[in-house]
Amino acid sequence: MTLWSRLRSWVQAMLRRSRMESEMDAELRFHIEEFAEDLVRGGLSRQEAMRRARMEFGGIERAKEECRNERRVSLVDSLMQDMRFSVRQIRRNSGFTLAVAITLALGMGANTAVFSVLHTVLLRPLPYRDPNRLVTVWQENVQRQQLDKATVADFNDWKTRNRVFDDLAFSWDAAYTLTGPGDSQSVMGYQFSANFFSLLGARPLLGRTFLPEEGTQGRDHVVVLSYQFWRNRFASDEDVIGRTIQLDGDHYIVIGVMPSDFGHPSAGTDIWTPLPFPVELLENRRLHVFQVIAKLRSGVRLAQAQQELESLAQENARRYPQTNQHWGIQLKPIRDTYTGNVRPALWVLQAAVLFMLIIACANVGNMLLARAGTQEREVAVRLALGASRGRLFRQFLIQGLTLAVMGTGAGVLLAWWGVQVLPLMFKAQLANLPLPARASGWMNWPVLLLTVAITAMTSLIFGAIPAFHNPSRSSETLNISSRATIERKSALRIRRVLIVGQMALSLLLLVGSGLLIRTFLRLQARSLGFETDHLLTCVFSLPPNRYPNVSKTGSFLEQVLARIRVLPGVESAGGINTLPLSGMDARRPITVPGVLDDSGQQNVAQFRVVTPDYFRAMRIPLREGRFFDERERVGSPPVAIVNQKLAGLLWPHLNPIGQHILVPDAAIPLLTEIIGVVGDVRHAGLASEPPIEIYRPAYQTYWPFFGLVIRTSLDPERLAGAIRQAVQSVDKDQPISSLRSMDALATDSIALRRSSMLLLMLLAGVAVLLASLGIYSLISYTVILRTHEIGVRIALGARHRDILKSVVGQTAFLALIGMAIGLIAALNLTQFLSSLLFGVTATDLKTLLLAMTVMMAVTAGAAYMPARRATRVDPMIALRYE
Amino acid sequence: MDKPLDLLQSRLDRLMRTAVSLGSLSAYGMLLGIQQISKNRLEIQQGPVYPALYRLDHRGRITSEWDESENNRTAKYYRLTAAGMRRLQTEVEKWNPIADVIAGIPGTTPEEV
Repeated sequence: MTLWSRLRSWVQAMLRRSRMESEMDAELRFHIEEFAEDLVRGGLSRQEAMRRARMEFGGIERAKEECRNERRVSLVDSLMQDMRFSVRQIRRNSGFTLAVAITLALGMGANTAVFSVLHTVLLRPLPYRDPNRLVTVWQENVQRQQLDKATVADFNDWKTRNRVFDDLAFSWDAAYTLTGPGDSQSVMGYQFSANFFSLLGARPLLGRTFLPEEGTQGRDHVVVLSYQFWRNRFASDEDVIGRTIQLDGDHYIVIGVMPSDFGHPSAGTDIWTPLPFPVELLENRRLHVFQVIAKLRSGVRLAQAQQELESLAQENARRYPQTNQHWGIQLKPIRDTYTGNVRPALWVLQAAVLFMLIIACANVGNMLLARAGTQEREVAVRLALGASRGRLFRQFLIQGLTLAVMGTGAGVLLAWWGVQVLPLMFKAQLANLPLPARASGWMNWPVLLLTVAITAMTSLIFGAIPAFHNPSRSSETLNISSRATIERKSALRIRRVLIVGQMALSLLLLVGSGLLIRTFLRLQARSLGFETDHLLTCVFSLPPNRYPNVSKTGSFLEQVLARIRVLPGVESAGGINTLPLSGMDARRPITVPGVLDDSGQQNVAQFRVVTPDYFRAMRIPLREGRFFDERERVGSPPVAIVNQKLAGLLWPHLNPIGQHILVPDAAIPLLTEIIGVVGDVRHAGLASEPPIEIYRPAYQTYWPFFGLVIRTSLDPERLAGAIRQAVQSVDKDQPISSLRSMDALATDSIALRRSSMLLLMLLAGVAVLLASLGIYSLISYTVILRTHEIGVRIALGARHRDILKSVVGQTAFLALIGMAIGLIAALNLTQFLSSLLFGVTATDLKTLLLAMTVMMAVTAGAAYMPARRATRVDPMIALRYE
Repeated sequence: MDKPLDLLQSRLDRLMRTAVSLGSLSAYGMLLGIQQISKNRLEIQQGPVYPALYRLDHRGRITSEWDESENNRTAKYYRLTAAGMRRLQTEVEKWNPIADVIAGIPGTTPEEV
């Protein structure tokens, strides 16, 4: 059937039906009037005759309905009728329907979105063979409680003396500049030991990964490309295998391309080259250079391996106290490399949305139970008037279905929006993981299907409940006055339990978000030690083959900064090897000559290499002495600036200016004079403590990569193009990357806590709102049920206070029980938030009290409105309903 | 799908058909007719007549048309169709023997069994 003919037949059916209706009316009117006329002839008055005629005829509407049934008005027609009926019902109860649909949608959408993201980030299988047996191995400085990479000598010990691993592999990062073919570009490279890919069990998309012999000097000029890099730089050309590319001027043969879901150690890695074992470092236990992965022997648990390596570390600590004292070992599942600290945040979020779902379900149940009470009467009346049970059932089912369509529709939209927004909120934290580009890649379809099914079933079942009216109760139901609804003891009991649960969970969420808010406020109140606004940053690496020494790197920096400084809108500009908030880090051991270091451990300070204007551009204050200036060149006496913390540590009672320390420069300890002391900087973000720092002048010390900080009077992002040009005008083959404002870096550094806080606040807000709705409706319901009784009480002289107490009393008691349970739960559960907290403990008393106060205020507000209505019951009106 | 007709309903249908077989009648006229034929012994509820008529109409046993009544009102008149007539015939043939049997029962004495 074509659409047109279908439409025509539908229109005809509609016309036929309306004709049938009018004919039926006319026919019945004729019948009654004829009958009445006969009665008039029999001697009755006209009015009385009409009355008698109607009475003797019986139910006119019922006759009509049966006639319609006889004509077998098509199924479509009656469905349409039911649909119109349910739309009317919904319009009549629009507030109720909307509330149920929104609650369902919220519960369903939020859970689907959060679980989809959680699954993609934390649960999705990694593209490796036996990913559960893969671990990363770290050395841990027990004193500083800090994980570090492994030294080559320690790695060698693990490799030769462990009995828990199948094998170990090592890697380190290697920033390259791709110089050909095409434009030069800095690429994020990683050097993998030859067995790294095979240990992971990662298969290439094209070509192959490293052969064992490619891990030896001279045969190592091969490269594996990441999917992203292959797509962007080589336009997904499959003939790339076998081609030669230039990295830092050296020729490398492309041997393979990895699939899009591979990205070790982070999704931003562009290329991988082989890393021959660095024999020159074989005895070195000072330089922590290796990122190590290992594969557990089948059947060996992580804790077991941890224990065995721990004992190895203790043995080494005894044998090499100079270097290995205070060093332990940490094993971590390989997934932690990619998910880091976003893991607890996501689980907390998942728990929170689950709580919200429970609250939402409790609320929907609450509302539907309340309505079932009022609808019971409607059903009884309709059954008594001769409605067929099947038809009734179908109508309620359609009502439920309408609810389901609205709820799941909105829920799917919310979920779809959520899987796009959530990854953006945690963007900085998810940077390590290869992530789906589109929302459809994030969406967990089975879970979406499941939640849609659950939501639909819920609304259908609850929608149809009134149709299961027990006919034996009919007369009882019909006897109840029209205002009152039927009080079902069991329904009321369920509603009370629901209120207790809602209150408990809402308080829990409120405490959680309160803790995060306080964390955030604490962080905001802190200072980074420099000013982030109007500051543009970028980073670049200087390939050693073109910039092999300090005079080359120094003159490059000097020229670039000179050109940047004259740009309009630039106030000052400086360079540093490890840009704060960028995650970059460099450490050097320092000693003070003549001072005995009885711990056997040197002080390890953050090692900064800066240009003279760096401090001015960052607005890091000078505390004593002077900044670097033109005097610090190659060949001039070595000098350094330390931060306040290091000065206080080394010379608590002396003037640091003019003191000397030993700090390695290119592995040779160099006697260096302190010329200044500057303010402390929270290098790793607001939540971190300032490290001890030593600054060396960039024109005196070699470093192969730098970050620039440019203080501007304009919006810093607008200068990005000019900065790029300035760098390229000095060296056209020198790419720069990560052009970002320092404000953006600062935002990223607190994004995890801020996003968690915002989301938890939102969830707690919704939860409290739902809980107060629950309280409101329960009290409204009791007030309506007891209107008569309240009227009697008022008539007998009860005071407002007594009425309030009798109406609110029980609900208030329930709310208090709920809050008590919530409090106990909060004390036990907020510890899972600890890793997100800062400056507050998980059992912070102030937060608990504040959350309780908010909860009580909201509850009191929700209870007050209906309770006030109770005190205004007019006894005359209330008593008339009998 | 046909609903199984209960005894009352089928009897009413037959009555209506018999009434209609007498000529073109309105529903009200039919009720009066049945009362006359049964000499007021059959009390038929008025409401259910209409569904019965609609049912017969739907099955093609009767047809209807609108016409002027004696009092110049428009009324709907029903008439048996050929199919309705055939059906009536077969049912009468089936009914008469049963009616005879039933009519005979009250007068039967124990000796006759």
